[in-house]
Amino acid sequence: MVIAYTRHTTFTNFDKTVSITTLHQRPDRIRFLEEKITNFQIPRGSGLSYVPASFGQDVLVRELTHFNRILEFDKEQKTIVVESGITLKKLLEWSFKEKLFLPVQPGYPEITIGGCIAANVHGKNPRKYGSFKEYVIWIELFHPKNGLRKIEPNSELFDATLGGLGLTGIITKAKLQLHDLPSDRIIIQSKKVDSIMDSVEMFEKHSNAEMLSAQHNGSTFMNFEKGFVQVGLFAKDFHDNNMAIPKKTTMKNIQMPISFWNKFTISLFNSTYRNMEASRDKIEKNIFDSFFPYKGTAEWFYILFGKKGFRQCQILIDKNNIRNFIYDLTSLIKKEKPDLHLIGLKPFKGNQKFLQYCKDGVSMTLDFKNSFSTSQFLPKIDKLIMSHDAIPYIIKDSRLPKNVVKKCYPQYDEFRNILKKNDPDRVFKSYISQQLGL
Amino acid sequence: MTFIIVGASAGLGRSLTEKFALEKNDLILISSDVRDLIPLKSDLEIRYKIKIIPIEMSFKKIPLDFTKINDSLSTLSPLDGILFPIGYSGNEDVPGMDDAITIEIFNTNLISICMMVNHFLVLLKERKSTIIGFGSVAAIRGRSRNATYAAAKRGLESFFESLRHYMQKSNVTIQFYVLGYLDTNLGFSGQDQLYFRRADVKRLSEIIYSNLYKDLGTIVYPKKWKLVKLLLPFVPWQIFKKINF
Repeated sequence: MVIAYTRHTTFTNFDKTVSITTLHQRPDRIRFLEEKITNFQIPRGSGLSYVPASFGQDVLVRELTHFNRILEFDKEQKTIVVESGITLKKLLEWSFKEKLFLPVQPGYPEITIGGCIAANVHGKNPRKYGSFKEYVIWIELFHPKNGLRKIEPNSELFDATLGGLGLTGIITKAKLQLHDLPSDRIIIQSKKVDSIMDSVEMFEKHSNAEMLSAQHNGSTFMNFEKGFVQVGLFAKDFHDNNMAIPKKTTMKNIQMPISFWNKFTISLFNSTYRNMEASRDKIEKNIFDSFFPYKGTAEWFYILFGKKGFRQCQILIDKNNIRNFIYDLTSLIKKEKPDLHLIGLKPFKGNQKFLQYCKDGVSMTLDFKNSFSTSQFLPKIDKLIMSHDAIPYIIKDSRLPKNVVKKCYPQYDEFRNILKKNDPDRVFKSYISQQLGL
Repeated sequence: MTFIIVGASAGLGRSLTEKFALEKNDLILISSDVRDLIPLKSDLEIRYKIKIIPIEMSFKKIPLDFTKINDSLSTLSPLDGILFPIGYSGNEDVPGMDDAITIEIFNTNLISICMMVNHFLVLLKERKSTIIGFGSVAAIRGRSRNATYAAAKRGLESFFESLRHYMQKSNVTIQFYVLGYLDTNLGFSGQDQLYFRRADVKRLSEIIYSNLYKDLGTIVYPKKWKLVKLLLPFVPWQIFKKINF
């Protein structure tokens, strides 16, 4: 069938490991969005996912960035209805003025609400605030065969859509619960720690903080495991009522020919950064910079991986297995000396369903240089994940094999059955869904 | 202040709507499908606390019924201007096409706009106001594609020239923007045929807003198309007939 206003576009995922040229539509009117297109297709927001979740070979990419409006606002209930293509930046630009905010936000302001739903993202302290699904009151889903449907919590389609990688249909609208914004600033305190386990223990003391995370050196060259915990708390008042949202927040389009990072440079960087952060007793940041660290040093951290990019895996470990997992992981790293650069940690809570990345425990992020040795090392991490009943975050790891996801997500088959029931012809698919056999 | 934007649901029209709303103007928005205007109304009213009235109205068929617009105007501050970022064409627009589509293209791009200008001229003359029309580089010199659309847009440019001449002693400013390739859905699929980079509609909206009451006449945007507008009519037929654009 001929689809109006399309072109061929080359899409690349955030970790730069997959590039595909395929048909691309950017509907700007409801009649284009609701066209009964029967081609294989996948919705796309800002396309910032680490994995190729919003494109695929011979799959029509339906970009929803024109559907980016606030549709309803209930001041008393602090709820909003938005179109799924609205970015966090646009939403917060408005909500900050109303002294409201979304407690769960991923690290980049150009991510859309549709993307937050499809990945069931988490924010700065998932132990306190849980994951995105806890702020979604309902969603509207479009499927060329089923039309528009309003989906509410406690239904299997709702749970399958939250974290469902856009495979249940096009998320067109969502009603979200906002919270009062206590201040326009966050006070962040960094504390040095010597091991990953030290951070996990420190999380217990600060579980009620607004922001809680740890960062450790992953390189075995020197100072392996040394790191710092960051604890962020809202300031007490509104200082100057200036939310300071920068005008330009799109990704820098810079590509380094080679990676700046190696075991020496990353150790040096991590150690220096740790000393810098810990030397400042407390720092006060405006909320935008605190919520979206990817617009600062972190963005350069990823640019410096060069054109070959990087690999990230994120693992959620059950609270009862965390000590053993950390012991086995650090032993493996010390033995194999992989191209591991950074280890990040966050405490978690949540009731895990289908493909959702949430449960009570600790989430660990591992950033590797994309190299041959990394490709040899990552299957060993997969074995570790499976043997400790941990779950890998699908949206972060573009090389995850099907068998790992199948083993780690207990409702993998149920998720597939829901897709089949909801979409018998399985028109919604992407590169990652095909890779994972979904 | 109050403005009417015809063709507000997408592309340049939507971008203009967002700019005029940002500047705290009340708006009457017109589109053939009100479903596209309702979300825009909600969004802009929530974010900017202004008043927006969406009206479904197709410019494809005449005569036009202005009752809803007149009724809406009675609830807002006096009218300060009308903008016509509206256009309609299609791949079928080559000589020999169906009469019904020919009429729809002429109506949308020329006749309905002239009728609406004629209807609201008396009202606009009462105060400092503006009427802004939009043409296309497709109308510089007729070619195989967009034949009827180009003819209508060339006619519209002529109408706006006449309008400017007629209104010279009034407080009404008449402007006509001849537009090159823009980054809208219409240009989205034309990637392979573009000789010029598509211009950002947000930037154009800012320019239009800042020039609102200036007597600029016909403006070519982006500026690099000025040269094309100047030279293309003089390209010898033997060469012109071979150009595929």
